[in-house]
Amino acid sequence: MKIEAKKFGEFLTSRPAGREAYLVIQSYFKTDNPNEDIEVDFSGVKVLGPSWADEVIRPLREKLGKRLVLSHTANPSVAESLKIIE
Amino acid sequence: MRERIRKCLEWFAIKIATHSNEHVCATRDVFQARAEKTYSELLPYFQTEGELALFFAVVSEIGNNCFDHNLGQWQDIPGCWFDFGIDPQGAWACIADRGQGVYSSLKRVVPSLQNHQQALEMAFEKRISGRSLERRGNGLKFVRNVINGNRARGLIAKSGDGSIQFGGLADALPNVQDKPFDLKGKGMFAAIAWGKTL
Repeated sequence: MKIEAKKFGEFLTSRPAGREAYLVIQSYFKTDNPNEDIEVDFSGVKVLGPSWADEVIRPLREKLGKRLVLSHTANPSVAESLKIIE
Repeated sequence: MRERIRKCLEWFAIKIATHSNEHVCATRDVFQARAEKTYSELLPYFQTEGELALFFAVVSEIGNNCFDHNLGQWQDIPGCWFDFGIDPQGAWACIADRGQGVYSSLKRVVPSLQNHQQALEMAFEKRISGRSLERRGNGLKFVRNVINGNRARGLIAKSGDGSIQFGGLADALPNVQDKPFDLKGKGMFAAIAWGKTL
């Protein structure tokens, strides 16, 4: 399953927005196949902040472990934000 | 830049603010909309969009923190002051709030904290948050990681009688120990400089 982060906005910076996004993402798991990777694709995102990442990526990582795959993370704000929540 | 930062500091430090003004974003939505407008205005001045993305992420983190930590705790005027510009040296932004301040926020979760200076240093250097029931506290560490040790980036911050600065370009910002920038406020003030991007 692929989750396109840009569908939640080009500027992903605030905690409330991250919390809302995570609630929506949780609903995707109703049809989750436990053998399938879940990819979060950051292409098209202009800015990612650590607060949004903390509300979305951290709980996804806890829930999915190695099944979580993050792609197109070259944008420096994406790379730095993901690094700080590791 | 210096004059506009001074005005921000005056608003941050005034005993009682009785009215808002054009720079004050009363809600997070207003701040977010203004910040996004800033992105497109600054884009032509940055060498790479990635560099602008980092500047924007830092500004957004500090601005959003004003709302994350001060809802229900404003001294008088809710929201944050947000101003930015381009100088020959690069881009700059300043953000301030009239909230409870870093010391008051962190003291609840770290009762051993003794003063504003300790609180400010802890806020930028350790993973800790005044909102103790939630796991957070990465934001200002992100800000520090991105700026500290980089000679083309700089930050100064004040809260109460504490102040902190890091990044090589912090010296391009007004010295907050000297008049007329030595004003003290209960909330939080920060100014960011991002150089050599033009």
